[in-house]
Amino acid sequence: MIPANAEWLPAGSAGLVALSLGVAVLATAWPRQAHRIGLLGALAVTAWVLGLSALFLHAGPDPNTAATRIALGGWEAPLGLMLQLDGLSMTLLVLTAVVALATSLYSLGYVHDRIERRQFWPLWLWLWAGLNMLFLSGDAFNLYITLEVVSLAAVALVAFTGTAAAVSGAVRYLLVNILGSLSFLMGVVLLFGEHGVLDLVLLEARTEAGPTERMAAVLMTAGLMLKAALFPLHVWLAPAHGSAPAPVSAVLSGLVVTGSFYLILRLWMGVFAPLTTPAFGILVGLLGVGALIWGSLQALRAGRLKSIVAYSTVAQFGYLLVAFPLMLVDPGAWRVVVFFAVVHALAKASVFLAAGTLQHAAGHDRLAELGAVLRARPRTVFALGLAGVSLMGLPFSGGFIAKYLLLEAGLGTVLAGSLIGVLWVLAIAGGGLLAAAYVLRMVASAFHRGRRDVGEAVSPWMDWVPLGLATVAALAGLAGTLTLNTLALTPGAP
Amino acid sequence: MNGLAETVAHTLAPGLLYPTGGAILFALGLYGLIRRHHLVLRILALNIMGSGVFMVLLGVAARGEGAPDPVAQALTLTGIVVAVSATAFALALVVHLTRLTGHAVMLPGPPDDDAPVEDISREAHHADGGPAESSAGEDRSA
Amino acid sequence: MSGVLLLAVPLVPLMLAVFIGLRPGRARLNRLVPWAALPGLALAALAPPGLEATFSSLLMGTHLAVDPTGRAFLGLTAGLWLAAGLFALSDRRDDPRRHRFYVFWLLALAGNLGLILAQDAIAFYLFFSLMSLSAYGLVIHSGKPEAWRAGRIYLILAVIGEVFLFAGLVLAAHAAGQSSLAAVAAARPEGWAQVLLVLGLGIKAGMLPLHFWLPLAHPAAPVPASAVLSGAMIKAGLLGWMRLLPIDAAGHAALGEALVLLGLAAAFLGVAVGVLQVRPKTILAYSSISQMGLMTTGIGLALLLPEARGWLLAAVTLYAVHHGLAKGALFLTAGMQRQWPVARPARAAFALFTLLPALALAGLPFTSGALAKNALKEPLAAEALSGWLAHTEWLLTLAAAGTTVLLLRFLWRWRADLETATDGLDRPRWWAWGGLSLMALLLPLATLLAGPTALPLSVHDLYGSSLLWPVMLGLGLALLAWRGVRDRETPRVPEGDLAVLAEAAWDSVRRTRRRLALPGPWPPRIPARMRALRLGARRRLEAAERMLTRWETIGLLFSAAMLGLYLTLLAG
Repeated sequence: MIPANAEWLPAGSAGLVALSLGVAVLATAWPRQAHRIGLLGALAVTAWVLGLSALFLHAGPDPNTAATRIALGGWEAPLGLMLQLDGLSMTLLVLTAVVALATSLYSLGYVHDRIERRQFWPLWLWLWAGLNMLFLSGDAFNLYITLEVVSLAAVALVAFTGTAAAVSGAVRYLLVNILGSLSFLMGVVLLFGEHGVLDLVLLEARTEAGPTERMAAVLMTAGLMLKAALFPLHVWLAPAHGSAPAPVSAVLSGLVVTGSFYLILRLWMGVFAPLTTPAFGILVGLLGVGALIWGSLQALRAGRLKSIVAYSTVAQFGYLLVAFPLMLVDPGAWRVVVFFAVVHALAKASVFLAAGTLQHAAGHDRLAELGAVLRARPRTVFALGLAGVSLMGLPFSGGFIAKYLLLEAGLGTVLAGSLIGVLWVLAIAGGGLLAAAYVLRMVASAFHRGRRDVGEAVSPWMDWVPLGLATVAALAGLAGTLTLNTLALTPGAP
Repeated sequence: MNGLAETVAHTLAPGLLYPTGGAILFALGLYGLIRRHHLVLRILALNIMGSGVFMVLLGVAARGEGAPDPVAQALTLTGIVVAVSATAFALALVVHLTRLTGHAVMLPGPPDDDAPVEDISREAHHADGGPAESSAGEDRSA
Repeated sequence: MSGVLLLAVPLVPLMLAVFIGLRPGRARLNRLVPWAALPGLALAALAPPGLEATFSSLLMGTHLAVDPTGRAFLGLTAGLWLAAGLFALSDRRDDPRRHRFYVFWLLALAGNLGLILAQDAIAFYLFFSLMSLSAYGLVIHSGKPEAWRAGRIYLILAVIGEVFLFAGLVLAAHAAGQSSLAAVAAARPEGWAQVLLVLGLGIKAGMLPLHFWLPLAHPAAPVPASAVLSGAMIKAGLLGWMRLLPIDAAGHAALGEALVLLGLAAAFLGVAVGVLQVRPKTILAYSSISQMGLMTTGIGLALLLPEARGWLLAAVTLYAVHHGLAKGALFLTAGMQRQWPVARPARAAFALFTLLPALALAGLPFTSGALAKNALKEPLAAEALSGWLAHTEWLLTLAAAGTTVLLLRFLWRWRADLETATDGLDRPRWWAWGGLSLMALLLPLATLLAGPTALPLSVHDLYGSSLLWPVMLGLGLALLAWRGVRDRETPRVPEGDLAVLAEAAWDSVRRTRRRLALPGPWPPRIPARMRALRLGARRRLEAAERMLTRWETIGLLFSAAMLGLYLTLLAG
């Protein structure tokens, strides 16, 4: 029986943080059993998040009372740390849980060396805990800390294979990330200096369009753009994601980057909302168009399967940027943006997992030589194709609904008399074609005639999990209204 | 003369000196991060940037009347802890990279499409072949 | 409860498709294929009026309902798919790739049933595209070169239609502010939205300049697939028009006039090109174009005559049901060529089942065609249409003569290859075929007994001299042609008229260029040049990305991003 009142939500949110941190600490302290702890923890955290979301939906029909704010240790806002649970964070928590559970199951098959298991699971659980805290934090400095936890764990996971390419990619990733974090922190400090508070809700109430706010907004946004691999600051992404182990790439591309974008969105919807100008929207939108074109072209150029997928992340994030000018015209469009990010995260994670399976089977991921393995593994190719269909936004996939809504918002801009709106609409429509081109490039050789070679045997987890996640991504469109309704329970947002 | 001294004294007041100095440190660190190629220098540059941020934060704490703001000081301390751990981690990575490649600079360029790809999920199947390149790298770095 | 009932209609075939896809070898699953249409048929027959359900958390809020028009289309669609499915079971018995056929069959069925129930733009579009794209699998099933060519042209047109329909729906739904079909129609889509909707749905309905996939796809597809393509699937375009076009009290004269013109042109040109064909199924495909032209005319008239729109829409629906059943039966007839029975009573039944749908299409009194044609022309007698439109009624009547000639041509060509059945009666085929054929007599009965209130028809509408003389005229013309014109074994107009023209034009352009050795827009030895270009582009892209990866660039871009953001924030 679900209690119908919202009294359980604070305890549930605090419990989620405690549980995910506890699992991570436990796995770190007892590395020999890390994979067992990890699996049980993954199941427990996922169950907790799903329970919490059921509770949340049950308790929060009124958007104005839906934000649950929890003062940790009983210290209230100006001094204490606040956790904040609303529709936006709930949606991303559920997304994280789904992708993370799939990745955990996949990792059971992927990371089977005893030593590596001991190193992998604690790092991975820290990453997950960091993401959970990131989505629940309601305090600017705390956000910085969680960002750092996420980045450090992510960098360690990128360097995990220990090869020169991986370590080099990890070092670049780390330096870029610290640069981004410091820039973000500088912005936080400026805001703190101006207003003397760190809590996002209090900050939102106090900010107006002043020079300090503007400087802080620029520093924080630029830092987060760097971390979210938004064009043209995306260059660290492909080396890092391309050389990381497959489950790590899936989480990086699906969740970590999305986490940074979540912060940009949250800041510009709340604290920095009074600062927005049409010119700002157009600049961000143009960057988005650039990302769409550049990322797609690089995806069409890249010779390795995982690089293609990594560049496709750059391209797909262009959509999220293109949505910014749309949000200036139709503030409600932010929900569409989040829905798009959710679908993208699911699809991208499953593409990376499928790519990992193929790489494992073939021993490499050079696209030109993958044909034989692609032909012999229809299940994985099907997962790749199904998730790819969602990335393209073909009918009957989650991506379709997301792109349909984006297009509709774009048309609204055009009809509202904005000439540049035509560019956004063209970018949204054309980006799908480019996505189709690189997705087809990935799977094309599966349909050619030629030698078949199953390659190295893979564990059943690696065989089935990508397919399962791709199915979830494809079916995500069916839950479109549910997601949008959940997102509507975000107080303060339009 | 008197006016200049007053201006200098005003500028040196902690309320303005620290933020200005912090901003300069931040910019210097960014410049160093971009221009220096040795990775240890880059990490140092990032630390300088971090010091700039903390300096601004301390300036914020010292602004206003009376005792400095304890919250800002607590934040600075926390920030330093994070910075130290990040630096330690970065240095460890650089040491590892130096062992592998023999240099403490970054490999150039975007994903090397032709670079060999190691796949940890396969290592258990041929457990005999250890990471051979690490020893070779060590010789060169030494 | 109503939600489960409505959702079951598309879901049952979908689930069966998944099961067959997972277990292709199961014979027992295959036997269920025709019955997947049964929930739809049951719903059409038994659903209480006003059955509807909204699934707010499905897609963007899916709304399914059975309205009077939808009920008629649902009955036709489900019934036809059921009959054709029974026929397919026997027809595909020895096909090694039959499971593939069944999977596409079930997917197309799910789409076709779903789009009839769908009352919101997204669900309608999704089901529509599911049907269109799955039907590609049915068209190319035989794997012959002819089928691949037909499939290619079908796919090109289907995808263009999808894009048009999608763009039109997005525009119209945006103008309407919500996505329910009723709201979209009530907001009266204008301008681009209207053109896109008419064209996007028109491709499916075989509207005149976009009709040429029909005569290619129908003969290429297996018999039961042609039956559902021609009988049920092309009606989806018609239904879409009825749901989305501004058919309301204000009317829409320009669009109505255009549709009447296109419809009448299709009615006559379809006959004209059809009689020059030689293959029975191609002739039937042209007959479908011609008949769809009559229905298009009906829609156009409904736009022109707002007072009679209720009557006309009901009449078009009746016509669609009549044509779907009769044409389905005729396509199955084409599949009975090797089933000429030995026993005398069976031969009599065979002849009856063959002639009945053909006569019904021609509009012989007391058949479904008679009722449908009279219903369609009824409001025209009273109304005075101005200008050339005044001749519409007469032209509609004359079209029946063309239909008669065309169907005689079909029977003649079909009879030429009639073979005696070697191994007795194939009962499932006979049941499916005979059932559909007899509908030509049962449908008018059912309409008169339990017809829609918008269409108060009486027994008098079952006959009339305006039905008889065109048939007689057609018979006379056919007789003359049979005596006077020598038949040929190749069609005088190639199948897929305009498609052939387009292909020929494209070919001749290429050939001319080759012969004249024109330099053309691109230099000769294209592949090598293209590869070099592509490699060059790739190298340049890689170099550019390498440039972006340099720390100097990163720093510069980072600073530039900050500056740009700051400036745009200032620009206010």
